[in-house]
Amino acid sequence: MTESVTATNKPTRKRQRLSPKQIAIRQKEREAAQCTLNGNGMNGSLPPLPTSGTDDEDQGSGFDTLFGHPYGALPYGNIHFSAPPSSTSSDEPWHPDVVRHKGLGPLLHRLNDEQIVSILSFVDGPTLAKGVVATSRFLYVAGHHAELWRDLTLRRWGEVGFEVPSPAVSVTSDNEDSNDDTRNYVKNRDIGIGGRDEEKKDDMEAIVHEPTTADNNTNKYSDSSTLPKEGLTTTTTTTTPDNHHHKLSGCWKDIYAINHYKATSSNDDTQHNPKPRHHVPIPISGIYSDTFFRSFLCRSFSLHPSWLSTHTVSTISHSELTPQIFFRDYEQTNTPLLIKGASATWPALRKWTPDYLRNLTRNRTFRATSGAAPLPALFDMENYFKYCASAVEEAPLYLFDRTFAKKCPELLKDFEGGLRETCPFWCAEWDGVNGIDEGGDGGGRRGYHDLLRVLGEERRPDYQWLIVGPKRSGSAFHIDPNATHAWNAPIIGRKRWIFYPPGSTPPGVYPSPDGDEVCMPLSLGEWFLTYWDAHVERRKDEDVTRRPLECTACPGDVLFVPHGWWHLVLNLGEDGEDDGAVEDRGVSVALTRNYVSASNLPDVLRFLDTRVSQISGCRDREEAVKPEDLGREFRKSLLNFAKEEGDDGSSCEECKSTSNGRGKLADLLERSEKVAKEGWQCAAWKDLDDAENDEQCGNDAVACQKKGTGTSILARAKLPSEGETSDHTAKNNNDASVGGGFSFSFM
Amino acid sequence: MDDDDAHGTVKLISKEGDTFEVPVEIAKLSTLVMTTLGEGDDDDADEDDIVEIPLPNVKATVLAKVIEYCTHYKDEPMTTITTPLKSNRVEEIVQEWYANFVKVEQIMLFELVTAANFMDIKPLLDLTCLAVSVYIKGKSAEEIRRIFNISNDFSPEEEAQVREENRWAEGAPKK
Repeated sequence: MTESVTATNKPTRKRQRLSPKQIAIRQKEREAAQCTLNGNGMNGSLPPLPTSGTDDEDQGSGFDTLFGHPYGALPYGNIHFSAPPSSTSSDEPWHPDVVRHKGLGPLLHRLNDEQIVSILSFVDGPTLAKGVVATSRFLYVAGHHAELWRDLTLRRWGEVGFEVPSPAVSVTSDNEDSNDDTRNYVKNRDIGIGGRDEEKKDDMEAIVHEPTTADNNTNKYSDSSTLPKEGLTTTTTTTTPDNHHHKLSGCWKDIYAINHYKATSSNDDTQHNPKPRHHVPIPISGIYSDTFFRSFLCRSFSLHPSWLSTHTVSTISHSELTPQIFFRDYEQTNTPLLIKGASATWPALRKWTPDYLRNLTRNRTFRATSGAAPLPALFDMENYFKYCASAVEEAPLYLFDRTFAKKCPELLKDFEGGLRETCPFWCAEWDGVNGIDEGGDGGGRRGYHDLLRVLGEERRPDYQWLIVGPKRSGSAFHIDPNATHAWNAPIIGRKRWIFYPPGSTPPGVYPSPDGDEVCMPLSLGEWFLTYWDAHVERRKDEDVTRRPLECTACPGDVLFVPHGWWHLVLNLGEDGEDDGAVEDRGVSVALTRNYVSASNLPDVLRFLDTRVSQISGCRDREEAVKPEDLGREFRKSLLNFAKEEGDDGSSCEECKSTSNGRGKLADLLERSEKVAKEGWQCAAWKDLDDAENDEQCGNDAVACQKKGTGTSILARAKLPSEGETSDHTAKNNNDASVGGGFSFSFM
Repeated sequence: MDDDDAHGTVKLISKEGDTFEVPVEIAKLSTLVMTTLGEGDDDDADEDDIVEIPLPNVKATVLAKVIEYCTHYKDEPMTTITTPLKSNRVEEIVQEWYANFVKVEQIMLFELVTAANFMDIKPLLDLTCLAVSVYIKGKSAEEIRRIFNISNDFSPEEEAQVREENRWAEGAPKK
């Protein structure tokens, strides 16, 4: 949570004593920082990037990218493979990091890349564009660091909305032969039209592997000794032949430029400001930097087939599912379930296309956030889709809108009826006619689904979202808020899910013992690239109940996400290529609701009572019940509701004969209170005094404090805006990220 | 709050080996110090146990300045620096003492950036990065090269392309 970031008002909670191991780690970090030229590659909290292969495949390139770094930057480790260019000017001594040294000068080069980026983060857009990037080659690369431009844009226009230029159209021929240099060039044009392909460079070839096509038998990886191991490998089995060039569309600098142009042109009629041009990266060789390469890598990684192939989540066809089965075997046992075909008949499935959504929501804005970005951004659908089509970045802005139903009631109509029909167990009015023993007491007269509705639409915490995002966006590991269950229905585009059972912390995730703070890699790309192997090991955990579960949910399916389960979601885009040509961005649209039912009521009550600081979904709306009041108000409203509905046994004939004079709902509440008092039903939450604080907890609490609010490079150079800027922004930020390191609070 | 924190000191050791004994309350502004100290839960730990923290990256002169910063911070916490910056001038963003604090030679300023980063002192990092950025704001490429002694390693074609692409930024109002 953001309250704990500034050093001066750190909460006084019990901290772990550092073990000798932790002290040793600290010492190593300090020593490492001392050794390197400029500190690059020695970020203590993340392993250094593998070097990209050069001539020798066995150097082991640990990753594939869709295309080379636009500026030709390579991971820092590659500096060891660098060689002087054949034509060095004889009077200047050459050393591997010369571009950096010359490009920064004697003073600045003592700083590492993260610090350089920190400094640049304080510089305004025009100075960056006309001053910094034109200073030297190194500063050209640094000054184009995408996050800088993203933050500039969001700070200036995030709250009011901004225009996203149309993606540049690549007018080059599709080359089967990667050595073919004959391409069409389109002269650099104003933003919105045209673009030019990059020239290939030797060092970019080092990163991008030659394509292997199915009908091409001269596969240099046919030797079994170099067969791909699971996970990240040196072969590219699915990259397209086009992978050596890419669209230069929609970088944040272009977005900033066009909006700046619009803002300044209207102010000054006499001066003709030049229209911004699309940014066309100049390849610069000789730049070795994990800072610049990692964030590029994390946004443009190829989706490896092995990441997507496992299917271990329980799956059932909708036609075979009955409410009985759902409650007994899944909701009450807290087991994830993929229901194939459950949403196939919903109108949304056939009606929702990007065009339809654009038209329906014309002139309305929606909120998009990202763990990396400093502020939320308001988009209308048109611009958001354009952003999706062109966004290539580490942690894309993800559109999570909780008020879509109010803004556009037609959207609600497109699925609500269908939901009632195909998933009656997820509708509040369902009356248990089929004899489902929800409450365990002989069948409910009323469904106990979505109990929080008793608070009313305005007062209840957020509970339903329209989720839109570009391919490769998604949510890093998290547990859904307020101990709720959820269902999630992809409408456009498929989603890849990875679950870890309650209490079984995923690799790369570091919760503090009481769950107050969670640290994890900022982006999905970073998680896949860093922790995939560890994840594969976890699949073989001796304790079967701790193993992860995985599946891919397609439009037409609905997924049940039980409370307390860790989950990660990756948007795969629409049908077809999983990795896909670069042109295939694809957009993902989904619906989700979170709810409380009889099965998780005890944990919810306990959560509302004991985890007030983690309660979310109500902090940034005036009319919502505040976290500290939520437990009390919920109970009050439940009992009122019971009374009003005549569910207190007093006026109901049925109840009179079966109940003890009190209604089922009141009974349910009382039983749940008892259970809640005794402890957690779900292993996701532990209390400080009953958990053995294992070493991992301790280690990671330390790492957690260091990482603070996310590992965005720029996060280190600026303080959070919560509490300092407008209240609206502050609360939005609070709400958008439960626990500092979260990318997104729920999925 | 722990008693240990209130009474204890910590020894910070510079690159050259000089020892600076600093009250824990003040040194804690550095997250590195704070996490290295951990929590004195141990029953055996008492005020005689002074932890030594080697800082091989930080020269004595720089460390002295860092400690000066942290000491002052205890009495007058620095204004949080938020973006967008209200002004180009440091004295309009932070308090006077802090604005003066960074009026040092460039070399020292950059050393402070490194030290603040290494010791993980966020406010100091913000302040020093801000101070460096002031040298950059509003400057042309040529001016930046002059200030930082950077050579122009673009080819003429590259330089032309960069300039052409960024013409939109020229003559723009200050923002």
